[in-house]
Amino acid sequence: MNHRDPRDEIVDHLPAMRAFALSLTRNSAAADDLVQDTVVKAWSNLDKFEVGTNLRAWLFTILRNTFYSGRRKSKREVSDPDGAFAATLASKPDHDGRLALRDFSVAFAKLPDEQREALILVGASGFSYEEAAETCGVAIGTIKSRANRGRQALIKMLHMRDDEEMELTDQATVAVLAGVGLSPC
Amino acid sequence: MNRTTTESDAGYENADPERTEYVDANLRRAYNEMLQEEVPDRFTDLLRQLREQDNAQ
Repeated sequence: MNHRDPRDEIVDHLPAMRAFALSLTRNSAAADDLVQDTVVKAWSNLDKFEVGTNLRAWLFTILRNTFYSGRRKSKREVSDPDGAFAATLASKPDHDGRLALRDFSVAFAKLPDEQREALILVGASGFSYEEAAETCGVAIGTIKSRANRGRQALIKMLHMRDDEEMELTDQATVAVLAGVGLSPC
Repeated sequence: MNRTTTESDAGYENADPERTEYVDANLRRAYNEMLQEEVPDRFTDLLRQLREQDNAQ
């Protein structure tokens, strides 16, 4: 079976690499720098790529390794596994049950790195749990758990719930919905 | 419709398929939006440069 030269194929994966990079960096300039570094690294290591295997997964692995090694150097950005940013957004699904894209993206950006990448890989880009686990260098169960924690955090942040007709109009309503009493002031 | 959130559900065994699909549909939509973006010229330029370097060797 003939396979295309991976050198010719990289260009086809650029949109997906940019999307993955953007979901990790949450900044378009940083995302494009990350993709650029990834392409250069991938190119010089192409002899290590096994032709016929999943080039996208291989490129994504390099991309995320580049991202995390850069992050270790800069030593910023603490992950937020408990979703401390949560519940600041009030977003109702529109008629067909879809959320406003912007609200969704804002909420997504608040997830910890490992949940964002798990969700992008298995939820959006169609990686199997196995491929995603291999790309991230963790067990399959870890990917499943991260993806599901991410989904739950999103649901919580976006107030997706049964009684969707609610209007978050005033402080009292918000307090009731959040399940807390109003603090006396 | 049953999308009641369970706070303690950190594992994947109890994941609600309906909720999973609801979130994933929005994810795919956001992701596809990103995929539609045109790839800047810097990347095609970069690939051309890399190829020229290879050929020069």
